[in-house]
Amino acid sequence: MTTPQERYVQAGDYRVRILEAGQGEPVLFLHGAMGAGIWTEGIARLAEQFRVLLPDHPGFGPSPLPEWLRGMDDMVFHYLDFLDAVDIREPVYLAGASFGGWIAAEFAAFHPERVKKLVLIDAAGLRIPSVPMPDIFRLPPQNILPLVFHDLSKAMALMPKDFGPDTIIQMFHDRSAFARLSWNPYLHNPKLPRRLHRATMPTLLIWGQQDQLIPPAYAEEYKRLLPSATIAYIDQCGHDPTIEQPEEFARIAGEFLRETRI
Amino acid sequence: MQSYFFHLMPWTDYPDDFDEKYESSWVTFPNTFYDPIKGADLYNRYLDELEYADTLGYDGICVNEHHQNAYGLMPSPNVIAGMLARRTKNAKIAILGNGLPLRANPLRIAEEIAMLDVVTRGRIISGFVRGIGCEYLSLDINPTFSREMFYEAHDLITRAWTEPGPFEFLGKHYQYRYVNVWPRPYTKPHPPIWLPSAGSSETIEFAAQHRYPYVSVFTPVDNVKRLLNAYRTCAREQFGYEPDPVQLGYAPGMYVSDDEQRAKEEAAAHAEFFRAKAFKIPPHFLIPPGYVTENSLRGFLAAGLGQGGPLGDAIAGTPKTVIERLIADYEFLGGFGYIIAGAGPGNATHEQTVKHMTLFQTEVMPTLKKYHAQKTAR
Repeated sequence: MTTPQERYVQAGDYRVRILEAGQGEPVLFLHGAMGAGIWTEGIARLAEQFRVLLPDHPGFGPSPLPEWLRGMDDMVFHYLDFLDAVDIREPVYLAGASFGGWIAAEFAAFHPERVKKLVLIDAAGLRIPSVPMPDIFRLPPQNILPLVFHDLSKAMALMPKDFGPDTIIQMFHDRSAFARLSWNPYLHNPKLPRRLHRATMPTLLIWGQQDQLIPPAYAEEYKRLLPSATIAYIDQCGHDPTIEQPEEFARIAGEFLRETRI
Repeated sequence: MQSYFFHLMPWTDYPDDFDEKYESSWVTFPNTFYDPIKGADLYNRYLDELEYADTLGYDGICVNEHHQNAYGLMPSPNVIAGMLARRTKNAKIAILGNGLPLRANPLRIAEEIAMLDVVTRGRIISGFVRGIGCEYLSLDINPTFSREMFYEAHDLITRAWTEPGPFEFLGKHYQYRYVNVWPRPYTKPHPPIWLPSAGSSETIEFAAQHRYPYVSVFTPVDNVKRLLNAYRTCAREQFGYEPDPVQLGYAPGMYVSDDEQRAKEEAAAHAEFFRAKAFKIPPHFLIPPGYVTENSLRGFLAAGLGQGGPLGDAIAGTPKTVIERLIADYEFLGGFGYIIAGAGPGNATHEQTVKHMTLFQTEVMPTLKKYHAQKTAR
C-alpha cells in the first residue's frame, strides 16, 4: 500500500497542503467533510494505479478558513488555481467523495474542458424533496456515525485516540469550513441540476448501497442529470466506500479510469 | 446603580415524557405542545408583570429575542417593546437584544428601534446580540457568517441613525443604494447600545472598543468576574480609558421571597425547571460550526462548557440575605453599575414573580444603590 508524501503548494494567494502518492496519470481526489489529510485505504489502493493528489480544501485541516470562501463558485475558482499550482494543464481525472463529490460535480459543470473523467462517490450537491438527508449539523456525533458507516467497527478504527481540546477544535474547524458552504441550502445547490448537462465527460457514480446519509436515490438523480454517467453500487457499504470497501472501490474506480472505450 | 427587570416569557407546560423523549426545548420540540389559549393568558400575565415593574420604579424593563423554542416566547422583541411602549411611563425599555444576523434586512431594525425611541421619547435601550447557536438552526442562518454579519449590521444601523440620508452602504452581506431611515431616533446621537453576551472574547473587545455596556447573562459569578475584568483590561490597555460602572452589568440568577427557607426551595424548583426543561440544549445546538471563533471555543472548553447549570449558584433568600450576597458579589466583581433581576426563571407563578420583583425593587435595591453611591463617591 502506498504512503503519501506531504507538501505545500501556492494556489493563487492561498497555501494548500497536499498528500500525494503513486505514478502515472494524475487523479485529483477531493475529500469529504471530515476527510482532510486522511489517506484512506481506498485512496491508497487507487494510488497503486495512478498518481493521486489529495489536497485539503480551503479552511480544512491546517488551513485557515479564508475570508473569500463564501460560496461553491469560490471553491471552483480555487481548484482552477490549484490545477495551475500543480501544473496540471491537461484534462484531469477528477474524483470526489461526499462534500468533495459535490465540489467535483460543480467543477465539472463549470469547466468540462478541464475534466477527462469524473468519479463521484456518494456525492452531495443535489436535493430530492421526497428523499430527505439527515441534518448532520443538528445531530450529536454518536448519531451521525451509524448514518455514515454500514459497519460501525470501521468507524471506531478511525476515531481519534483522545478527545482533548485540540481534537475538538480541529473537528470544529473542519465542520465550520464545511458549514460555510453547506448550511443553507443544506448540502446542495439548487442551481446545480440545470447546470449538470454541461458535464459531458464519462462519469462513474460509485455509491454505498447502504448509504443512509446520501441515499442511493441521489446516485440515480445524478445519473439522470449527467449526460454520460453510470452507477456502480457497492454492497455492504455506507457513505464512504474508500473506508468500508477499499479494494472494491479501487478496483471499480481504476477500471473506469483506465478504460479507453467510452 | 440601576435596576432592570428582565422577562424571558417562558412556556411552562411540558409533557410528562419530555426528559426522556425530547433532546431540547429548542429547534425540534414540536410546536403542537403550544396551546394558544393558554398562551394568551401567559403573554398577558407576562406583560402585566413587565408593566408592574415600571410602577414599582425599576429603571428599566428588559425583553429579548429567541426563536422556535419553549424557553422564551419573544421571537420579536420589538413587537413586545411596542406593546410596552405606551403602557409604561418611566422605565427604559431595554431590548436585549435584537439578533442582528437573524434579520435578513437589518435596516428594519434601525427603523423599528427608531420608531420605538421616538414614541417613548427616548426610553429605548437597543441591545445587539447574535442570538444563541440554536437560532442558526431554527432560522437556518449560516452560523459561519454570524460574526461578520453582526459587525456589518451594527455599522449599518448606527450609521443609519446618525448620518444624514440618503447615503449608500456597501458591505459584504448588505448593500443599499439609499439608507435614509424615517423616523430618525429621538435620542441623540442614538439610543444606547448594549451588548449582552455569552462571554466570547471578541464581543468583550468590541463592547469595550465602543464603550457599550456589557453584561453576561446567567453566568456563574466566577466567570462574570473573569469577563468583567477582561472588559476592564481591554478598555484600559487597548483603548486607553477606565470604564464607567454603568458599562458593567450583573445579571445573576436571583430570587427574593419573604421566607428564607421557602425562597431557597422555590428558587431550587425554578432552577431545576430551567435546567431540565427550558434550557435543555445539547452542545451541538448551542455551538453550531463556525458560530464562535476557535479561540473562544478553547475558552469555553477550559471554562467547562455544559458543566453545571447556569442557575446553579442562584442567589435566593429574603431581602436581607440577597443584599448580603449582592454586596459580597459587588466587592468580588470590583463593582457594577446596573443589575438585572430576572422574573423568576422557568415556572415561577405570577404571585411568586410579583413578590420577588417587589421585594427586590423596594427592599434590596435601596441598600444596593446606597452602597454603590458610597463606593463610587470615594
